[in-house]
Amino acid sequence: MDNLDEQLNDTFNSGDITRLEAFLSGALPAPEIAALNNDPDFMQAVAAYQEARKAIDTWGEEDLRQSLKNSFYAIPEEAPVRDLRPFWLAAAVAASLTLLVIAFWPSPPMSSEQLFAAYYETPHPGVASRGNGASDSLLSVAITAYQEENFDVAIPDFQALVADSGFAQPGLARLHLAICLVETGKSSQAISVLEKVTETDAYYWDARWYLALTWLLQGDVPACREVLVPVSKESQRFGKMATWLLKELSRR
Amino acid sequence: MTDKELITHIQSGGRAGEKAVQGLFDRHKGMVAKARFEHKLTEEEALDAFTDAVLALRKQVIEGAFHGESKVSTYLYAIFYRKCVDQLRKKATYLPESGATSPEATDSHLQPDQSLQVKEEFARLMAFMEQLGEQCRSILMYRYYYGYEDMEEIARLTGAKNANTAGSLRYRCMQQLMKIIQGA
Repeated sequence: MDNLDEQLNDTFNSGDITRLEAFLSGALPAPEIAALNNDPDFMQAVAAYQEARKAIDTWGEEDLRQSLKNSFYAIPEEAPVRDLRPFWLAAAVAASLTLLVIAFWPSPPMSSEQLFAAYYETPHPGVASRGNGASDSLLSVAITAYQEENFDVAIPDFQALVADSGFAQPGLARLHLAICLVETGKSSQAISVLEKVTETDAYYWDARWYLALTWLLQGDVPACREVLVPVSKESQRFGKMATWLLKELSRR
Repeated sequence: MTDKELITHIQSGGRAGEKAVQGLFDRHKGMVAKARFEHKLTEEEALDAFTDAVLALRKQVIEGAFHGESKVSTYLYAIFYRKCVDQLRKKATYLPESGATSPEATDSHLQPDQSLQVKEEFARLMAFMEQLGEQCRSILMYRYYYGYEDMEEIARLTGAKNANTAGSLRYRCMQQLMKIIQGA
């Protein structure tokens, strides 16, 4: 397929692709768009075209990524040969100074929202816990809704699990209930839920990390810091991120 | 180049867009050294984070999600910072589980992110492209990803005979790619 020029014939018709592109950009008249929407063959071609564009973008992005990374390592072209010792000396000093300036130059301060966006990631529930039969099936329903990002739907189920004293893993229910609350804009409620996860619970450090982030989301930096300090010292999973975040907060 | 010019060039695509992205990368590549110093990332990790940040900014400009409300450098730094945290998160996700019996060590009941799914999707899409010939891939990439409009320039870049051939090939290659996808 490398030499396509020779394989082309003059009668090649490009109309189908042109029409597809016009359809997707909304350039066709409304009645034609409506008719095409009801044409299953055409809609199948649209799906294939959209997938093709995704493939091209993926390939292109990889090409650009490699090109940029190669340019980072590229050695600058050599200057014409002459006695360059004084020049090289000056260049070396300048390069060292530049590196020092870059390393110590303060980065722009990040807002609480930007920091929250950088550190927050919706956690994905692991293996479902084993409780009594009814709780098990309720947990399964809640987790399915959560995984489908139907956080509003999952909230009452997680609330019921939190209220069930027989449920084996209250920390799991509290953590995911709190995440649902954060995701639906009820971060104040999320804070009180996360604060109830006890130190002996296996989800304690997860809860503390998300509690710190929720305080950050609320703009309460001192409360965020207070929660972060023990996380930075004691949590294996979140310790390093908590240290980074504390460092970033201390620059404000 | 001002921020406004940078955004305009990236949006217009083609050679100007490519130059603008390379210029953006060159102007701010000091962030890589900074991340190594500040965040103790390896050069490779910092460069990955920085390249990802530049690509993400390019995408946001093209999709119209960033219009220059804040300074490009500030915006890029915010994305870059997030990518650095992602690098750190990756490391944290794959911590050894030797001490997994103590409560301190078991605070990772949550599964790793969906990176496996993302990797599989990436491999699937790349595999479609790999079934095309090199010339086809290049023509589609220059036209659709880099946004070159001038078929003569695409012909020069891809070794097609002339603009007409490149134009015809563009459609033919797209059809071929769609067939590959439909047959998968």
